[in-house]
Amino acid sequence: MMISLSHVSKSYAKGKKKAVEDVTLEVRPGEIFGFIGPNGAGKTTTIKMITGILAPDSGTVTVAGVDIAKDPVEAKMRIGYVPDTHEVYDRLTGREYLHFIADMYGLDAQQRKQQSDELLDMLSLQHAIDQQIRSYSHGMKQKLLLTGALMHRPPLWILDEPLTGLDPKASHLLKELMRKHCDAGNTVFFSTHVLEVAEKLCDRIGIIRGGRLIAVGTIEELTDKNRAESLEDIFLELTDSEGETA
Amino acid sequence: MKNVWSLVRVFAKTRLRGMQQGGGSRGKRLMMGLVVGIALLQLVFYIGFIISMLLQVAVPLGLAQIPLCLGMLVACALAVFEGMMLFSGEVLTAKDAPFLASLPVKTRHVFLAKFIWMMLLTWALCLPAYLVTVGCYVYWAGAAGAGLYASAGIAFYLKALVIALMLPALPLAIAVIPSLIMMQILKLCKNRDGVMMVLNLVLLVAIMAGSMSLSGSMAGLEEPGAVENALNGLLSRIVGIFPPGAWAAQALILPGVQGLLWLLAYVGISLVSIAVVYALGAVMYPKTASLSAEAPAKAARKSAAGSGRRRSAASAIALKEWRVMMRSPVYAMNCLSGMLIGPIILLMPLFMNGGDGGLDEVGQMIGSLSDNAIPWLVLAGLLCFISGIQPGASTCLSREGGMLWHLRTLPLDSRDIVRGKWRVNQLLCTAGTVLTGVIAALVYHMPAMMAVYGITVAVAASVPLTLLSMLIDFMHPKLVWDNETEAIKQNMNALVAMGLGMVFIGVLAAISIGLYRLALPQAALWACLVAICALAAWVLHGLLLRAAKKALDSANELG
Repeated sequence: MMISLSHVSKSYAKGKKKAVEDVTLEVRPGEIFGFIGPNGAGKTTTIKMITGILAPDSGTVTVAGVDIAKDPVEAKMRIGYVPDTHEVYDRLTGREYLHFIADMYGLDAQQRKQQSDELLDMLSLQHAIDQQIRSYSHGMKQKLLLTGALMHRPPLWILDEPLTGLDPKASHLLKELMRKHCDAGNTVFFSTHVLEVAEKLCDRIGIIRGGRLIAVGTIEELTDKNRAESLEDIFLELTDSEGETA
Repeated sequence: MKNVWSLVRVFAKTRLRGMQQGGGSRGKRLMMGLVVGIALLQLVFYIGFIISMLLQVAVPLGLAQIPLCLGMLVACALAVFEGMMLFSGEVLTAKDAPFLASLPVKTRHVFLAKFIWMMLLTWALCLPAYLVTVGCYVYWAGAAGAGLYASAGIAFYLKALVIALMLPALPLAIAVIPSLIMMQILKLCKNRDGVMMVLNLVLLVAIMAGSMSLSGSMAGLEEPGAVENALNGLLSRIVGIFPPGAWAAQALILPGVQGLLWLLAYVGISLVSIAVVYALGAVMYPKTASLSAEAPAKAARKSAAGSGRRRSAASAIALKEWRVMMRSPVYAMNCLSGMLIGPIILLMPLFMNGGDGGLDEVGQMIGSLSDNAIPWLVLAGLLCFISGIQPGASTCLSREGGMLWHLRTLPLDSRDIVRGKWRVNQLLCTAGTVLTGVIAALVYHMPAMMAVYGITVAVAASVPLTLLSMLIDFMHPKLVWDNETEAIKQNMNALVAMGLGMVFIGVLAAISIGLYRLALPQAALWACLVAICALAAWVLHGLLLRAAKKALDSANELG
């Protein structure tokens, strides 16, 4: 398994607010897994536990066979993570930022040049790479974060709302990259609010509501089980307003 | 105007909640509050002590207004410094500028709300200094037959209240108006950050020159009539620097219509200053507010990192830390302050008061003690004191702020992060210690060996001091902040680290005195002190690694 969550829970405010409750989930190599849910459902908290930003209160998180709690460094080497917020060292130039990331992942000079140039060309960011990040637009920061996350060719991509802020060309390119990445036996785990994209792109979908995983499966499995016609219908039915977390 | 007060309420709520939420558990917040309270009390006590000393001399000579003027000047100076700091955080680098610009509120009302909020914050700091000045005056002048106990009566207190209410207006205007103008100039500059750093450095030197000039006016007190001359000299300097300070003092001291006229003059100038700030802000603020969001006009050079040479994780962290620190004027000035203060203090007397500032006499005294360890122990102590001021080290993790997620997702051991940050902060501290030590040795004509002993002990002591500063921040980082000023200047960790650093230096000083009394050879004394510092560094290093692991590997919540 590429990602394995086993009875993972997380709460805030000394247990008063349960953000994630007893989530068990497995994501296989070679699949694009879509993680969707209403606002405040626990998507970002779950992603943060997978990437090692937060430690779960209980349960285990395994990435590419490595327990992230026992060997976080090894686990993180296998992840390329792009968050939904774009906080980054904005006093660095884009190039300095990429070199910093490359140092973290142990890329040598040739690897970093080749791989970063490839991504920068694809995402049309070469022209701004020597400017300070604080001069970048929202979309440009997103592209830079993507470049940094994917440069070291990790087997697992974890993307939190990756298409937000990207222009249509970059958005199309990213979707193609995601498909190619998984066809090569790797994995993409991403969250999105755009259900049409999830429906077209994902091999399997997980729906979270109120910190609990309420549905997992392929689009066909979910539509058959819930007697719905589309992912949007499934989503709306499963996440009705009573169950929505504030 | 309703919008203005709504905005002020929002600013107050968000800032106060930010302080609460960034403070951690209730116990930690109480402790922080206690530390801040003690620091404020110390400031108030120090000001009160100086003013009392001067009043005891001035009142019998009928010159009681002079200490009162000085107290007013100190209170207003505090307001000016705080105003500059607040302007940087609340206006120049405020993240809420785009949001506020999108609201259906006139920009001049937004600016007015920010100015009122800055006034409230400034008032909170300068009021205690003012109150202690007035309190000391009432006590000492009252004892001599003035104030409440004499003819001044209730009018004195009413005038004091009016002055208290108007207190931050003029100083804040003095801070804000040049800052607004400077921002307009900066918009035209290609290298804004560099220009800002140079301006901040010039300001720092000017402040130190000003304070030395004031203290210089009190020189030569041993001659007959010198005290009166010195006090009058002080008054003329204060009046030269800040005339309204003297007007406020006159308003308090003089009875009847005379006092009232001076009060009206002070209130008038305060109201005029608010009006000028409002008028200028209405025009300049809309242009200034976008400054932090705009990219500088300067085209970036191709980064030196273009070679792609692979670095270790710790080196990469250190390089990143250095670049982020030096490219932010706020961070750079604060982190370099320790390096700069020492040399400025030492060199200033050479350029002030028309002489060497008594340095020759100190040099002669040191020369007469060439076989004694005292001069280099004193040098080491002074250098340690400067090493203890480490706003960079004591905010090294706090300054990551919301970007801490980045470090947590990278395949980094917490030890690499500690090493990387320590390298940068230790480099700055060591450079400052060595630079100040070398300048001190040259200025005071210290024998070379003495200087080497003093500087090396200070460098050895700077290692545990840096580790201690970092430890405080790793144990309790302030990760929730809206601007860089808040991250570094409004961070209690800097204060706590400085306090604990002083305790460490005090303990080291006590040990030094004990060892000195054993009449050890100087080399042995030096070796003992270096060994003690090394041991302290080893212990603190272990504690820091543990704190870093907790902060970075297994923390449950961000900020």
